[in-house]
Amino acid sequence: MSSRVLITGIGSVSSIGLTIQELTDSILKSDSGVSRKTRLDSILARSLPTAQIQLSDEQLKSRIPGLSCKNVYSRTALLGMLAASEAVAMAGLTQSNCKAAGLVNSTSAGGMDKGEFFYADYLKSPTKGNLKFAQTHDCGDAAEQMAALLHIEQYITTISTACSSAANAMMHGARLIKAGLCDVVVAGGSDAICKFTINGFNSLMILSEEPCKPFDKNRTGLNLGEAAGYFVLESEASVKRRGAKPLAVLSGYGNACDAYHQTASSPNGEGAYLAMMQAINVSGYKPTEIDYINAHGTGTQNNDMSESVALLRIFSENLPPVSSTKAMTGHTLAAAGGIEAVMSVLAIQHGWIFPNKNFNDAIEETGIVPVTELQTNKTIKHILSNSFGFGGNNSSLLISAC
Amino acid sequence: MNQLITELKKEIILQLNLQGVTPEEIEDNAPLFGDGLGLDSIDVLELIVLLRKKYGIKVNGAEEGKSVFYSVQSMAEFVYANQQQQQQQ
Amino acid sequence: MLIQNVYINGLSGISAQPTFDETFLSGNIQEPTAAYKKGVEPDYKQYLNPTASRRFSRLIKMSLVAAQKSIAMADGVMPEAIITGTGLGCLEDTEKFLGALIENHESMLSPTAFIQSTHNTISGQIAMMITCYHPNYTYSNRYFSFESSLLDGILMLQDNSCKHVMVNAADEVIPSVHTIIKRMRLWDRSESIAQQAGMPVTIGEGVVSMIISSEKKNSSLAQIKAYKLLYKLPAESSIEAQLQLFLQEASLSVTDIEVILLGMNGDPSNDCYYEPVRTMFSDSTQLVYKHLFGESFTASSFAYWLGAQFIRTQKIEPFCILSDKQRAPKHILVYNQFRGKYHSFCLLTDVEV
Repeated sequence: MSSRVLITGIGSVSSIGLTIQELTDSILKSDSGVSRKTRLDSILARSLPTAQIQLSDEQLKSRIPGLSCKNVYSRTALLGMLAASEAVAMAGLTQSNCKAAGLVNSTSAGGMDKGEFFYADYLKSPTKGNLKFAQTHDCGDAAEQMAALLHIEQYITTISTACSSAANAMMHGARLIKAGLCDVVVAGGSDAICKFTINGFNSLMILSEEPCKPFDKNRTGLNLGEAAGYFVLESEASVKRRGAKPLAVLSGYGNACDAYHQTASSPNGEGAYLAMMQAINVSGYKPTEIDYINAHGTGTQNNDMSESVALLRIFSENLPPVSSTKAMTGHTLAAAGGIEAVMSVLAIQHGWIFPNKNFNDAIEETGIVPVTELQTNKTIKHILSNSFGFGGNNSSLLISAC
Repeated sequence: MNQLITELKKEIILQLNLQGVTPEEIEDNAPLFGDGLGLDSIDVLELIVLLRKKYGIKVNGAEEGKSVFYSVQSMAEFVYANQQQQQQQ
Repeated sequence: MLIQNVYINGLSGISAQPTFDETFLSGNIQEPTAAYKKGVEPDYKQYLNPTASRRFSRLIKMSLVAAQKSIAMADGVMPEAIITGTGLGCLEDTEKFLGALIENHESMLSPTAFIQSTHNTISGQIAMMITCYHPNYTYSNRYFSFESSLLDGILMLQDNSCKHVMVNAADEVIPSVHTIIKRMRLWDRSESIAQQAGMPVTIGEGVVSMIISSEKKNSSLAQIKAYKLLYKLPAESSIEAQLQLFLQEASLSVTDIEVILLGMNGDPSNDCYYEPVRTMFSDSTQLVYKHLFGESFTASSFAYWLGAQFIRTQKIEPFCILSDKQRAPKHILVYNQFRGKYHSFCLLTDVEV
């Protein structure tokens, strides 16, 4: 039953582009979506750099045909619907294809952007608060909204494992296809910025007051962002039947637990090491065949050190070009793995290696120097894309050219 | 100072939810982290919040926190020094 | 999906009934003492170090203790994946952090509640407790939260990437959420399942922890022989047709199913979907459980606890019986859905089948 898992559609929305075309244009200019502008009405968001999408919920809604004006949609659901419908359109899926498809969504904040409003009213009196804001709160709401929009009926689910969520969603999608349960799976992640998350990360003292500097020895933390990124994953048999054109292959994936601490990564990067090795082993390729690593690289002291150690454990002196794109997109939490996987497909298609912006000096203990300028005209066959989450949830995807 | 130390011990137990630990069991000079009470990096953040809320003192991150929170004694000295400074201002 | 060699080797549940000590199976039924189905919790000091568990909410403690027990029952195996389903996540900590954020105007916020509020804390804490570096997942999608977790676990056994997988379900109730659920007229409508009139369904909480394995043991409780999830019924199909297909794939017929376990919850707009199934399986003993355990996004996990225990003991708890055909439970069909969506079918059987 096992066969290759092909990627036939990609879709994304982020602070550097509401469509794949806009994302592509931004990449060519090495743009960053990190700024001091905030749409989110939050004291913290007004004082810290973030990578927000500068469209209101109403403006996002107006870009999605078929939505009811009576319904309340969480911002996370809106971002997810925008990006996933782009992926589905790119893959050329019909309504009939979608009915029999699976949807594996992921999110960490879910509908908290509305839930926060509800609870503030509820605190004044238990009879107050717009119930529709409470109804969209849980993680599963966005998946239901997306399934309704895309006419997906067979199977839907949502993964919530913090920053590794979208990568894990793609893994579950791949398992469904390899087991023959679905021929087509829309998989990815979406997270809107909200007060809960920005205050949460601030309480951990890992938000930078400046644009983030992944892998730089003077890095001071991450910049939160919001985004959504999706794949259409498909079996070879289905691609052949439909005469579809695959963009890339999801050739390997791995998930491992650091089992070290609730928020800190282990000094020897054990979970990261195991996840990357698993992705490489599942693919059947060798570490020497990896052309580029899209690192998790958040800009925190802990992650970048831990990830560097893990990279050197696998690649030692033969480290392929590596960079983190989070100085461009911000750290978009559950969506990070999704948007970075989408960018990896673009890298394969266009022969790019992305710049790790704001880097000046290497971490002394590990000495890794990432790529700092956009590289073009490269032959990129295999990319390792890392997403490491709280609770030690480490995931790695190996994306390959067809 | 002794009063401050006793007060801090009670506050630490409350803030960190150290059920089953009494103030008498916490030695003034014993390390709070690693061995000793076995606290971790999240507890550092909680103690930073404690100092801010209760004493109005800002600790600038985990690095500064390492020396401030070495023991209850070092915490008390830090709070005392800051209180003196605040009074002078 | 037809399945080979998936055995339930470890099983533990903490719920509104005394399931942790299993006295529920000897007829020890708990009458509701709270406005909702509150969990009967063990003495955590017996299982968890107080300092190490100082940050943990009730839900996390319940999950850790249930996980300890299910591993012990499975002879102490190290699970090669830990997968948890939770519909609403860690509510106590979510409320704590959100409340503080609003009241303190985004300043001086304690990080503990935020960290503990993330949905994958449960799976992550279990992994830390047993030092498990293997894959770790958390599903949170309404009435498929537990079901997707179980599906993923079964897939990992079937593709031979794992021999033992821990699958958990976890959901808790806090008073504010109970109030909100009542306002939504969702799971607390003060209605009862027919013939269980004394026990209206309200929101419930608890955890289930299972070790599923490709290795059969003398102590295995039950087998999972077939499993299917269907979000919505195809327009041209019916629930009867889907169930026929499900049974056909397992080379079984309706008459082979001695017992069915139904997720009825007293809400007419929900239970109407079970009527065709009750008619189809009119010769099977029909069981319900949500009047005892409550309703939630992961309440269906208690059906798996019950099904596996009834198969193991060959005894059915009378309080679960909706319609008794005096049939010995060798094949139990577990069926759950919610208002016409989220259909899950599972065939649990005796280990020797």
